[in-house]
Amino acid sequence: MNELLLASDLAKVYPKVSKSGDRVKVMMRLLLGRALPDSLAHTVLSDVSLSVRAGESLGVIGENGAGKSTLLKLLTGVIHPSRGSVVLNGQVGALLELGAGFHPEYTGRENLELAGTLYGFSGPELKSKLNEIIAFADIGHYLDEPVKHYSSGMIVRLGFALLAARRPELLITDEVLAVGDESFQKKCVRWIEDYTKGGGTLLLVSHSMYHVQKLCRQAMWLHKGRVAASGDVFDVTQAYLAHHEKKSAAEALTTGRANSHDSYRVTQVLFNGDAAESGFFLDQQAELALEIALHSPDGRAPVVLVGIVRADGTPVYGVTTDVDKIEPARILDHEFHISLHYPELPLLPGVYALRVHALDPEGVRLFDTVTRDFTVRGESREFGLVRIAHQWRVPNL
Amino acid sequence: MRKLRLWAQFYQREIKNRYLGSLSGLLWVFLHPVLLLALYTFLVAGVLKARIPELSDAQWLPYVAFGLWPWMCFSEGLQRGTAAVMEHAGLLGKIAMPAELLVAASVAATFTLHSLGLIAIVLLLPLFGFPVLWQNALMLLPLLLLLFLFTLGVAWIAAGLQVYIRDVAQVLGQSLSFLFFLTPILYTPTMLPEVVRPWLAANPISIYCTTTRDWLMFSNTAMNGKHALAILIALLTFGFGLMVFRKLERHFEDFL
Repeated sequence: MNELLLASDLAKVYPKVSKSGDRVKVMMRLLLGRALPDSLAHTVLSDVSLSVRAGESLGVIGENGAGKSTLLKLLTGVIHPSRGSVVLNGQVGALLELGAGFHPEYTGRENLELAGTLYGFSGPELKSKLNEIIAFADIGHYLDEPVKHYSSGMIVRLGFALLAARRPELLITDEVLAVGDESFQKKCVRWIEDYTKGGGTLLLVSHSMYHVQKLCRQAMWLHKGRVAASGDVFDVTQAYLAHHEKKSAAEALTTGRANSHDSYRVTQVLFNGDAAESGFFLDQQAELALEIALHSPDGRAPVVLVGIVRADGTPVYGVTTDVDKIEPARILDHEFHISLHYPELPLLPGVYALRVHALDPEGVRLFDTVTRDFTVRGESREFGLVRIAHQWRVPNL
Repeated sequence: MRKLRLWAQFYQREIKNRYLGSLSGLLWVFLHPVLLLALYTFLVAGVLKARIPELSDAQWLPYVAFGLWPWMCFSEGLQRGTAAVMEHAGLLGKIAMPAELLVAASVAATFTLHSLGLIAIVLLLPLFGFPVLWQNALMLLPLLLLLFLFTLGVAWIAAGLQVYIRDVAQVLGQSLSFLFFLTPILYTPTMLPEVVRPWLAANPISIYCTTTRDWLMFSNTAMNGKHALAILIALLTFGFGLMVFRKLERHFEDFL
């Protein structure tokens, strides 16, 4: 229906050129309309499809080199896709690279003319908006100096001011905003929020999950040139952050465990009644009930330790049966059961792991660990790991 | 529409930049061909004492001039156009824009200034008593337009190749100095040996030089098959050049 942007099966292959002869080979292939051979091709993006409807806002996230900028350049027509197609049904304003469309030898004012045309302004239109642009950029007397004397922040100011005056139907912007200073960034973020509220459509690349969550409703995670996840902004950003937390945890994790065959063991953990090993979702402040079954080789009641850690291994909360002075109940000779309830789990949205440990009855040695990964869903914009009960008070004047 | 506006911007900038930016630039663009004309006339007529049977002495200078200006349009336009993509490397790959406009603006700027130069010379020569049919000056415009289309077509191909093969500009410069002598600028076709003469028709530039002279010196304004062929060649070159450029453009940003 109202698809402003529709891209299907986009792929970008860069030619790998090491010898000077390769340049000629690539050129001949292009002239003959043939695809590049594998030995000369370097795929940076493949099988990316996306659609953006009027009024939507999509954030593209991913590591360095994941293909985010390439994707934006393909979408805006700066570079040509090797496969797939892009359909644009509206007028697009893009701020992709620092100083795009500006000539370093010309003054800011002169540059506004050419860049203005590149951004789609007509002559009289640009004239009528010139004051607005200059006011937004707020770079003072630098406006009449050559752009080569500008700081990177000033270049972004000028570029963004032009874009803001254009008010395109679809705004596409890369990480460039990060260059501006705090106050200008805030100004831009305010403007973008205003713009999306007013029905504008946004496509944004950022490493700042804060900006993405604040400005976008949808997100797409690019990983090594492919779409790793896409959908609701909170689900995708959380999955992305969890991926990174796990990655750093995997590097740090070197734990030794005593684990002989017949020792104290956790035989079963039911997560809200579910015996699966992963894929749990909880809503924020929801109830969590754990049913834990244990094996004891000598028939004595083991101590149980239940801990919650963030995906990167940061401990959030842990408690043992002997701290709380309680013992699992004996069901059979060697089998013990106990359950644990969190009536309103105060975790903030994110990916966590639940670790259930079996210790000896003295609570000294750790024998077994069972882990359950789970995701807390929600749209909270609070910071940290848990929600701490609080009250704001405004003094009565 | 947007393309036209963009082209106009680049064109303006090119003219401002290259020619109006400095007084010497403006002088140079008119002075350079005039000096060349003076030098060639002096060399051929004064030093080598070449006499051309069908031309009077007073016709020699306009004869060279009307070969020289179309040639300058072509050779300079081609060289500038070839360099245009590389000159704007900073712009391409950062912002969406049709790169063919850069070449078109560059060639057009060169043509504008040399056309003005040619028209100025056509109007000036009669004042100094040279026999020139200045009334026919406006007829030159369609001819120059045709030469522009032809030059632009060649420039697109050369500019596209230049991105991939950096020697193109150099090879082009050298080829042009050969081609200069293979074009009847400093001689008339009748001075050539009988065997070589038909080959002159293979040089697509010579028709522009001879036609300019036919119109401005010999009041021979009849059109013939050669003109039709020139129109065909110019249009085909223009279309083919654009096609080649569009194909090569797909990987420009990887090589700039």
